[in-house]
Order: sequence, then C-alpha cells, then structure tokens
Amino acid sequence: MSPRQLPPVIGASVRRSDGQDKVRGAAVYGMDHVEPGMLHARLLRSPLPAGRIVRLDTSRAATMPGVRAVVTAADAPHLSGWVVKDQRLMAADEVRYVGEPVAAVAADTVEQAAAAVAAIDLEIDPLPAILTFDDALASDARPIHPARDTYTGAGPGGGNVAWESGLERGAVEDAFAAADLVVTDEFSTPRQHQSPIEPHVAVGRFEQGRYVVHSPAQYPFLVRDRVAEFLGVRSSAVRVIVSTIGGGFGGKLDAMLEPFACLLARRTGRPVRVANTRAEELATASPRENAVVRLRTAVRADGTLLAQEGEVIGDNGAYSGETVFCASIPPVLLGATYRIPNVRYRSRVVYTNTTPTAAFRGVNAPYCVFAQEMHLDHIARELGVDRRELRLRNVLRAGEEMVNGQPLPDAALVDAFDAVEKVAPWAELTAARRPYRGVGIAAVTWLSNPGPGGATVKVNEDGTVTVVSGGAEIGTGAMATSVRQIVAAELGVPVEDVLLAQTDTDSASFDGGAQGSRTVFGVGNAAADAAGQVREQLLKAAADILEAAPDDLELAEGHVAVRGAPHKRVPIATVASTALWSTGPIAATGRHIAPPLPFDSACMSGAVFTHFVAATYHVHLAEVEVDPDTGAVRVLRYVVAQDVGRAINPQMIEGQIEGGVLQGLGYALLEDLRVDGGRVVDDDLESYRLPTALDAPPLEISLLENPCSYGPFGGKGVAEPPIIPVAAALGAAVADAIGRPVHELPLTPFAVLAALRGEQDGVGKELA
Amino acid sequence: MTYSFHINGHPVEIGSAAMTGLLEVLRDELGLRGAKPGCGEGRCGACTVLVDDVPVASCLYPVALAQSRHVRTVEGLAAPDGPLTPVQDALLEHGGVQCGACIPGVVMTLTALLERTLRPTPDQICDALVGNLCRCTGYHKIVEAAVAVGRGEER
Amino acid sequence: MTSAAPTSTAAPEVRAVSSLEEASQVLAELGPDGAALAGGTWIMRRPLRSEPWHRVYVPVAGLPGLRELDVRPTSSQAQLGAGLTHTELVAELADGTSVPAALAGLAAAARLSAFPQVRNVATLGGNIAAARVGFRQADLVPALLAAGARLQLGYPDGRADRPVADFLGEAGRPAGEILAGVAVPTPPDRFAGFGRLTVRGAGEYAVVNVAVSVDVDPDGTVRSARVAVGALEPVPRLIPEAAAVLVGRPLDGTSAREAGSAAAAAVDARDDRLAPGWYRRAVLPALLERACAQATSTTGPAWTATDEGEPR
Repeated sequence: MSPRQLPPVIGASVRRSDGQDKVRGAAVYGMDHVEPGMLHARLLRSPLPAGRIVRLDTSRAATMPGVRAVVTAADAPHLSGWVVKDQRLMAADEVRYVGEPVAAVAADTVEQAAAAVAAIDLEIDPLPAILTFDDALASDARPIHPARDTYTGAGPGGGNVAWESGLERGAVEDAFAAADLVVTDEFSTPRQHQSPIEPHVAVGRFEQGRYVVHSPAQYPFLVRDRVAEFLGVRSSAVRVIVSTIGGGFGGKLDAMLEPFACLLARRTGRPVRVANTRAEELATASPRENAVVRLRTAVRADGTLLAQEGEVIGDNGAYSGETVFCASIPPVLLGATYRIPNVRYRSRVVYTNTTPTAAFRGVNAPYCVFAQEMHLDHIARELGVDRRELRLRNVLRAGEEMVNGQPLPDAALVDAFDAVEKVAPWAELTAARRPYRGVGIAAVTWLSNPGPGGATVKVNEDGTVTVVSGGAEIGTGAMATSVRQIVAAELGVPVEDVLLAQTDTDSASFDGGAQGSRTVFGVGNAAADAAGQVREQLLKAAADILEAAPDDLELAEGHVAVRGAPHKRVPIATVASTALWSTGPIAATGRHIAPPLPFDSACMSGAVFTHFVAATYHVHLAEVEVDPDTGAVRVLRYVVAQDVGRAINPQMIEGQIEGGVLQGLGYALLEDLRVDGGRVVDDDLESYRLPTALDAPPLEISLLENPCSYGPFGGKGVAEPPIIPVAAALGAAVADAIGRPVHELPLTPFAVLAALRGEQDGVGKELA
Repeated sequence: MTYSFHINGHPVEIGSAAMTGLLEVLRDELGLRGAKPGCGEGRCGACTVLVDDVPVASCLYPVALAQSRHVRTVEGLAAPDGPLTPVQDALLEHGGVQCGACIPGVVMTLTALLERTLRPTPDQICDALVGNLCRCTGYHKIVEAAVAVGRGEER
Repeated sequence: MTSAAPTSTAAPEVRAVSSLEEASQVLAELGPDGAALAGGTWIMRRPLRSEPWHRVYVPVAGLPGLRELDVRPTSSQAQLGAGLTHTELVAELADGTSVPAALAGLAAAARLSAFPQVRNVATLGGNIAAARVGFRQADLVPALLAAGARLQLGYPDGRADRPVADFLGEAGRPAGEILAGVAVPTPPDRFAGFGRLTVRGAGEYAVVNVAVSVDVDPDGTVRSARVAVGALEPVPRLIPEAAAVLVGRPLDGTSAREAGSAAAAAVDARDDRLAPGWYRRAVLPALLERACAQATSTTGPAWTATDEGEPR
C-alpha cells in the first residue's frame, strides 16, 4: 500500500484513550487497586545468598495480632518456571539468593504483617555463595541446582550453565589464518534495573473456585500460567485482570507477587494485596543480567571482516526467568548488522547465588551491541580506518543474509547511516575535533517479537467498536493509540469510537504479551484480521439495507456507503443494530502468527530464538564532552535514525525513542545495580541513579518508513530499539573523547576519571 | 489528636497518627489515590502535592505539619466532569504521558511552576522537574508541554 | 537534637507549642524521648534508615523568632531564622546586588541542594541538625562553616551563641537545646562561594560539596580565608590546611586548586555507596576552583583561571 492510499488515521498523532484518566489522577494502577475486606501481605526473604534452611518456625508469627495466614513452601510445593521449571514460590530446603521468599504472612495491616514476618524463626546453615562467573564455571564449582538436568524445560548446558546455545558457520580457522589482523577484546556490563515508577503489586481473591488476580501485568497469559503452575492448578483456574500499568520495561512480564496474593487469598478467604517496597523492588525484582562479551575478529587490511569468534556469558541469577530463553539471541544478533561470513559464537547463561535476572527492554542487545561496536572501533583504530567507513564497508545491504542465513530483503542500514549523515555529517564532526570531545556511531538490526496474538473486534449497536484483546497497555500507547488507529482505519470509524476492553485473560484470546516491541505488530495484526472479518459482516448486513451487492459497498466516516454513490449510505450503528435480527451480532476474532522466514537452522545449536521477524534497522550517533576534572560526561548531541516500518502514530514513536535513549543513557553512564557479597548494594533511588530531566540529551530523530509486508499497514516493532545502541554510541564517543578504549559500563564519572588518570581497573568500583 | 486542613479547597479533619505521611493520609483516609507511592523515600516525586501552593514530597510530609494549611492534589485541578487544565491538556497534546505513574506528580510540579513563572524556559522547567523521575518519556515531551502552556498555546 | 538514642517503638506523637521557650522546656522534659521537628524530610526517613521514632516530636520551624530574616547590606551580620526553608533562603539571598557578597555561598548551597519538593520544606535549622546525626551531605553546613556563622541556640533557661563547628563537633547536645537561628558576619570585603558535585545533573546528594569565603584586601590579597567540605567525612568540617594556602596572595585558579589539593590531602574521604573516596578527593581541586570562581564572580576581585580549564 503506498502512502497515498493510507487512511488518514494511519500516521496521525492521535491522543491516547487512557490519557484523561492519567492526567487527572483517576487511572487505577495496580498500586491503586483496593477491595473491600482486603488484607495485606509481607514476605519473609532470605538474608543469605546460599544456605540450607535448618529451622523455619512460623508458630509464633501465626498468633500475632491481625495475622490471618502464614504460608511456606509446604503450601505451594510445585516447581515452576517460564522456560526452565527450577523454582518454587518459596524456598523449600535451600535458599539461593538474598531476598528469596521463604514465607508469607497475610494480616489486617501491612504493619501487622511485617511484625509477624519479623517473628518467624528462620535459621539457615550458610553455604559458600557462588557470585561470579569464574566461581560458577570453575570445574569443581558447587552446583547451585544439583537437580538441574531433571528440571522440566532444562536446556543444553550442565553444572552451573543454565542454558547454552551456539552458532557456527563457514570456515573460521581458515579465515583467521588468512587474516591481516586479528583483534581481541573483552567487555563487561552491569545489571540494570527496570525501575518503573510503580513497583510490583498484586491483589488476589478466590472466587467461584478460581483465583482472580489484579496485576499490572505485561504478559497476563504468562502470569496466569505461572500462578497456576506454582499453585498446582490448571491455567483456566486463574484469571488475570490487568490494571493500568505504571511502567514495566520487561520487569512485569513474569509472575512475581501474584501467586502470593492468590495463595493467601485462598487461605484467608479474603482479598489479599502484596506490594514491593522500593528496596525490595531493587533488590529482588529481576533486572537485566550482568554480562561478559569476548570477541575475536579476523580482518583484512582494507577493513573487510573475515571471521569472528564470540563468547557471551550472562548471569541467570539463582533461578531461571526469561534470561535462558534469550541466551540464543546473542549468536544471531552479533551477526545481524555486519557481514561476517565465518563465525563461531557461544552464549551461556550461568547460575549464581544472586537475584534472578530477566527481561529488560532490548534484552541482551544493549551489551552485545556495545561490545560489537566498541570492538569495531578497536579494529578501525588498529587499521587506521575511519570508524564510520569501516562500518559502511561491512554493513549488510538489502537482500544480504544475516549470520543465521536469513535474508534481509528490506535491510535499511545504509539508509539509516545516510539519514544520520544528513543531520550530523561525520566528516564535520570528526574534523572539528576539540580536546575532551568525541563522537561515536553505532548500528543495529533488531526484531519484532514473533509471539502469537489474538483480538476480538465487535461493533456495538451504537456504531462504536470495542477491541477485546490480551494486549497490555504498558504506557507505550501501542494499545491506547496504535491498535485503535489500525481498527479505525480498517472500519472507517473515528478513532475516538474505537474502545478498548480491560485486558482480562478470561475474555481475551491468548496474547504473547507487551514485550519485544510486539504489541502494534502482533495485536495490531490480530485486530486488523478481526476488523477485516467484521468489515465483511458489516457489508453483508448492509447489503440488504442498501439493496446493493456487498462488493459494491465501502466503509467510511462511520457509514456503509455504495461505492460511487456516497449519498446512498447507512450509519454503522444502524447496520449493527439491524444485523442483530438478520445476520446476528457483528463480531469476529482475529489471529496473528508471524510468517515462517527462511534461515539456516543447521548452523545453530540450543537455539530457542532462531531468526528475526519483522526486522528493523537503526543507527545512532552521539557527541559528548568529558570534563577532565570530574570525569563527567555531557551529551552534546544525540542523533537517531530508526526504521519504524510504518509510523502509525509518529508522536508515540518519538516518545519511545526519547524514553528509550534516556534509559540507554542511564545504562551507559549512570545505572549500576551492584551486588556485593550477594547483597544488592543499590537498593534505593539515591544510589541507583535514574536519569533526571537534567540528564536528557538534545535529540534529533529521523523516522524511516520501511513497511513490513506482513505488519499492520506496514508497521513493525518500535519500542525496544531506541535503548539498544545507546551504550555503544556513547561508549564510542567517550572513548574518542578521552583517547582511551572503553571496556566496561557504566561510564560513571568515577570510571571516566579513573580512565583519564590511568588508574587500574576497579579503582572506580570500590565499595565501603 | 485530629488535624484540620484544607484539601482542594474543602476542610477536612484527620485522625491519623501525627507522623503519618501525608501521602498515606490522602490515599488511605481520603480516597485520593492520584498521588502515587512510587518510592516511599522522597526520591521519585510521584507523590508530589502542593502545600500552600508549593510542591512537596507528600510521602515525607508528616500529616501533623499540614495543620491549618491548604493542600492541593491532582484531583483538585480540573473538575472531574470539567475540562482539563492547560497543563493536563498540554501533556496529552504533546505526548508527554506514557505509563503515567509519574504524571500526577509532574502535573503538580508544573502547575506550581506556571503559577509563579508565566513563561518558563526549558532550563527552568528541567530545574523544576528534577525531583520528578519519569522512566518512560525521556522528559522531552513533558518539557515541550510546559513550554507550550507558558506560551499560551494551551487555551 | 537529643543526645541519647530514642527508644520508643509506638506511633510517635507531635506536640504543638507556641514559643521557642515552651519548645525548649518540653524537649528538656522529654530528654531522649523527644526531638525537634522542622520540615521533616530527614526525620521522616527514620524507618528507612532502620532508626526508631522518638516518642514525641515538637514542631519548631514556624515558631516566632525562627522565621526572622535580616540580610540588609548595611548590617554587619545577617540574621537568618532556623525555620526558613531552602526555597525561602534562595528567594531572599539570590539577589546578588542588594545582598552581601559574604552570603553568596549560602545562597548557592540553598539553590543547588536536593530538588524543589525538598527545598520547599527542608529548613536551615533542620539541615544543620541533620548534619550532626548522619547527613554528611547537608549542603548548607559547609557554606555556614566557611562563612564563619554562629548558631543561636535556645535553652529552657536562656540563649547562647556557638560557632557552627563547635555545635557539629561536640559529642552530645543538651536536651532542650533548640536551633533558633544563624548569624552570618557580612563584612564588605568578604566573598563567598560554593561548589557541589553530583553524578546526575542535580537532584541527589552531593558527592562532594565545598564552600569557601575569603576576606580580601584592597590590593586583592586574601587576608583570611575559610574552606569547608562536606560529604567526605562523617560530619562536614573546616579544612584549615586548605584555607592557609589561600592567604597572603590573590585568589585565582592556581591558588584555588592548590588549596583543593591541600584539602584533598587533609581529608579522610571514605568510600560509600554513592561514590568512591579516591574520587571525592580527586575532584576537590576543581570543585574548590569553582567555588572560588563563584566567590569572585560578581563583586570580588578579577578572576584568573588556571590553565587546566575555565571555571564552570
């Protein structure tokens, strides 16, 4: 469909349907949900990173004032897990991280619950904690999960390797032997916490023999299944109702507090609320994994990349969330942007006695791209080749294959480089060099999560349209604007007349969750499919009224009209109400599944994630200034060129870019969720530094429309990519500014000043 | 001990314990759940309300100190069935709202700023907003919205 | 502001009083069970610091006498009530032309501290009191130390004046002592500045804060000087070694950095969650240069930066 033919609502920056409630303070978030007779729960959490529980006596706590129930592992003994079933709701005989739930108390007030938690008698016989990759991977390392291989869903690997995947293509040894230059680097990156303004919270009740839980869940169907698994019931025995979500960024995909709320509600017969404090949130709510990336690359003197070996180690923490699933992304991602004909990649996710890690916007990509791009800068330096030129020489062009053999017919990386160049000419930036100023440029190919989705579209008798889906509005506007725009465009109704039903696993068909930039793509496709069926139903029902053939009818301006005779038309409201008695109510359920794409499965092992659906292409450029006195990095300029498929709501996309870049800036310069002796050091918002309004850099954004043949109106995922290349672009710019390579994040003033003054690694990492 | 003060122009009497945070009183006693308990440690600004027209972190504000004062919350800005205030409207017009959990606090901070400074510059706006963390938007569109209100582009 | 650790675990009470004398009397009777309450931003975080509440809090910030303010340039000293908020201090001290230059450091400290929601309620007296009990980043305190300020303390049986450093340094405080106000000398040849370093743009505790004030002879020679730093050690303090470097020469970038180096050598900067100690020392020369540049920026002697960079 060419832009000319697009309905005007596609590409319009319409307002969000939940906006009025949000600015009036009327929106009911998970943290705002209350029910009559509601109890409050607190958790007893392990104070030690590793040990055997030798005594757990809740008898005194159970008799404390206001206490209604105390539960322990005995009350929920089932193993569960998103991918690998390696965890119980509460520790049974062994604790594996500081903060692991051991018991839970429901009481009339939070204070009473907390007092009862404090009265639980817990004795733990400590075990030596395994906190680092080296310790976990040592040949004689104590297995954190001795029963690892018996877990349902256990992946390739062994010992403390929770999952291992790899990708091998071409003749790696031959290519290295023929190389003019071999460059080696190692990078390490920190944990980053999602830190939405709303911490995790859930309110559960038991009703008609089923668990009902209100939660700000990003992926309600996963939460449903996980609650059911933890509690040993079938998934239909759990209903998840999604409240307004106060931010997620991946942190609210998996179940966390919902099973506690449900279990305690069942036990007490009362609604139960469980909420994390900010300290609990930072210490126990699964962050982005810390990682190490090792790269070794063979290049020709002219800068052509010949071969690459790569090893990625990510920290799983003590139990498996989505991190194991994502282990197979790095091998594809490392070869998704540049032409590297011969590769050997290995990716491992390793158990440690630390807080479990999980998804955060862009999953593994920010550190993989950071590593790859810093490594390319290193190669450019060694060869004396311009950094941008090196990239253009190797970047994948339209029709070329990624490392997994998947062709990219619509690759627009060169276009993205061009778009950035137009805004910020590289030669000018690099020619006008001044001391302590630097520039960096980075590129990435990313995907739209291929998860399945469904949506029901029904036409109400007043002519409005309701969309019922499992899609969760996490704030991006994907549901509150874009999906409504897609349906409005399909049915020719005003976007204000497209309503969203509250997301509820009882009423919606399955949806793959607000993750991986997939809502506009997945829910949008499903809703468009449903709307297409509804359109046929409307035309058929209207044909009788208008005495015309359905093929001669069209939908526009809230009416069904005879094509070419616009005065012969009937309001959709009339069609819908008439149809009740002729064809039956107008409604249909649509489905979305990503189409199969060609790739070379033989080159991969242990891969859950094999290829990139609805791939998108991005280039970021940063210019920074470093204060030589303090090591402070000031971002003077930040330029983004992003392939968005189709800009269904440009303003919302810009919002994703502005927010994603600032989260990426946090990752690059500020945020460092440190773990010391198994304890999360940064458990408040004083030392875990989230970017403020004063930290937001000046931004220049180019949206590149590069429609996806199987996306709604050409749409692709847009929300994750903006965070991905930021650490790479900023890291490269800082390295350029200080004239020293960068191998670690974040580039705090401490780290930058240490680098400037030539101090050894670790100087900036001292802790009290 | 009861404490008497005004909430959004209406007198109230509160029997909460003296050092209870005003946020808790607003949410649990008065049913005003617009201000958000984002961190409970006075560092995120989602609980910002105005006390005698200046922004305060209501989680750190003992209810006893509210005695005889005038407290304004996000619920008191626009009539529930009336039009939005210019600040509220501009935030939507400029796309400054995503998840929105920070927004009640942002609205109060910007309202106070614009009551004192008719045409704030972006720098003044950022200075005013530094105690309001937003994890979604990157702040640009929030600042644009405030600039627009100052320029009178919003009603 | 009591000397012994509080013991109460029950919900604390707030007892309203109508005068400084009454507050002092009540607190004296309560002993370790009572404490003065100003803006509350430090005290309200007691549970987060795992500190028990006192049994009784006595609000003092609005009491008569605690909100007095006199910063007339004709006076030999400025009088600042302890109940003034940071925001009020900024409003009163920000106008550089009619306010004595000796107050410029204090004005900057009040302006740069924390963020609006805290500045609007946190008081001068609360900042000083909190600095005694763990708030080593208290921004106003180094500025007061460098300015040579004296605290005006109220007791059940009268009043007394003490230098800020004495108040901070002495081990215990008598029950019933109330911080009523601050007197800051404002000789016409005194110039003051303040520097504050944060990791983010603002809105967080200072990694280091540093304040300076200098008395300058007509020929530009510094006759006497005071340098104070905060956030490095458990309590902010004066660094005489740094001040000595400034004396007997014109104030410029070179002398400021030398003084900063002397300060770095004199402090015991510890690591904590917010910053490594080596870093806090390392930035002192630059930060003191910034503070000195501010001290001379409006009415002081002409400023010459070091080769190492323009003051920011």
